Amino acid sequence: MVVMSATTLGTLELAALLTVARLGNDAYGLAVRRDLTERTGRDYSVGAVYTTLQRLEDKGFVTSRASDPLPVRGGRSRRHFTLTGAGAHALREAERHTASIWGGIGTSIRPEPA
Amino acid sequence: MLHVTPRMRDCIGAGARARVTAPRTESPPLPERVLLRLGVDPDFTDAVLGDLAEEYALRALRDGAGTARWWYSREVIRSAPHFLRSSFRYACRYERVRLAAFLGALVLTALAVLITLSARDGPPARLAGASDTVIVNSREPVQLPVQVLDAAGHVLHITGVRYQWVSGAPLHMSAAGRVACEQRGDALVRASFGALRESFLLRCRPIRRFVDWRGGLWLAVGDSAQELPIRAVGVDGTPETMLAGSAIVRDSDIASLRGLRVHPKAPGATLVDVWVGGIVDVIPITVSKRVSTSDALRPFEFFASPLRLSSGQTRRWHIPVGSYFVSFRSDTAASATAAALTLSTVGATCSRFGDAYNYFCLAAKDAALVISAPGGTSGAREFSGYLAVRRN
Repeated sequence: MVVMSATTLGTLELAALLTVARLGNDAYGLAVRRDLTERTGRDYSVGAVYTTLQRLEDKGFVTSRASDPLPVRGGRSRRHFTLTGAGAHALREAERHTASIWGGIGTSIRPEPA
Repeated sequence: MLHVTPRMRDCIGAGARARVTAPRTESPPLPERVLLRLGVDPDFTDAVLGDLAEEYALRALRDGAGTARWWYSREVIRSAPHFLRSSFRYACRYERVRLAAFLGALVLTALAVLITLSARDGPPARLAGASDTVIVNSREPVQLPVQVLDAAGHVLHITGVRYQWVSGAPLHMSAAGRVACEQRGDALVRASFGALRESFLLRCRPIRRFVDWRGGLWLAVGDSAQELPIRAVGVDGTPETMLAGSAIVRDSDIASLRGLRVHPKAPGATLVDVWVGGIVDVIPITVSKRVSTSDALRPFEFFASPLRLSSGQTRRWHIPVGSYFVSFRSDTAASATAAALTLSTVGATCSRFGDAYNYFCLAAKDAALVISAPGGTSGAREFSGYLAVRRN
């Protein structure tokens, strides 16, 4: 039996959570979006990225804080995101699920290593 | 367990809005200001706007302002659904209702426009021309102006109206309604479109030319309107008074047209273009302002005075350097040889212009107009008349 819980992540949520984990202190919306675009080849809108990060925060996988206002942003702050313990747990669970799904797939299907 | 964030407040309130300040580098395009009014969550709006501004500044430096603006507008539109989602999710009940009402009004307006446009033109219901009588002043072929209308009176832009001569003067007219009036005459014509029929009186009044207007129309500021003096000559050489056309004044600050009446407005000169029967007439209009003395007359000012002199009396009016139209009239007795006031000049040259009462004068320095009453041996006598001096 598979229990569907708040730890279930969508594709973009998983990608965004990994990006936050990877960028560390530099994980603010614009940087997350650029990293996602580079790695996935898809052009996500700014609104879509923030909606996803907000959902992750609502689930407790990240926390956010506002930086000081910056002139280049028209006097607005950057919103930095940080991985929480629950978020790290969710990533481990997602990796385990993925490995379980890929298990038993022949080498002809498996993607080439990067 | 769902983690409740500070953003999931009960009611942010109508007063809490994201700061919408323009980037320091370039001004944000209009779509931002329009779309972002719908956002309620200030943190979300602030973060997205900040990212947009930061990336906009970078792109403006790297790719140019035009490309950056295009990118910015596109991103605002792409982010709009997320603003709405954030608004509906985090706003208080009042804000959600207001936003839903706004979106509903937007959708209803769009629907209303679509329905109006699609239901605008109905099927042909009747034929209508300019009136029951059509006047043609042109000697060249012209198209008769019958149109097809729907029940609501909208003009349907469709062709296929057929014309037929019914009675009256012979006409050179095609079935499609091209008519050439070579001579004066009236004819009854019927126009038809499917089952729709309409008859009208076609009055051919071809004109050859307009009567030449020397000097044009002169008006004074504050005076009542005057009729535009349009006089045309028909192909048979006789005056033609049944005219249909249009007139337009070139400078409506000086005079205005209401129908064929010219209303003076301010001192100056302008022209009225009159189109009748494919012929253009240009009528000069001069509007002058009345002043009380002649000493300091300026362009487009005039001085006028009744004259009353005793026998042998002389009166003098000084005028500045310039050109003038002078109207002078002496009230004479029944006999044309009776004594009358005379006009002479000092330092100016005048020649008759138009009729016996009007002069065109050129004044040099220290010029003056002199009116003299004849001296007589039969006793004192009063002479009267009228003098008007208009500077060009």
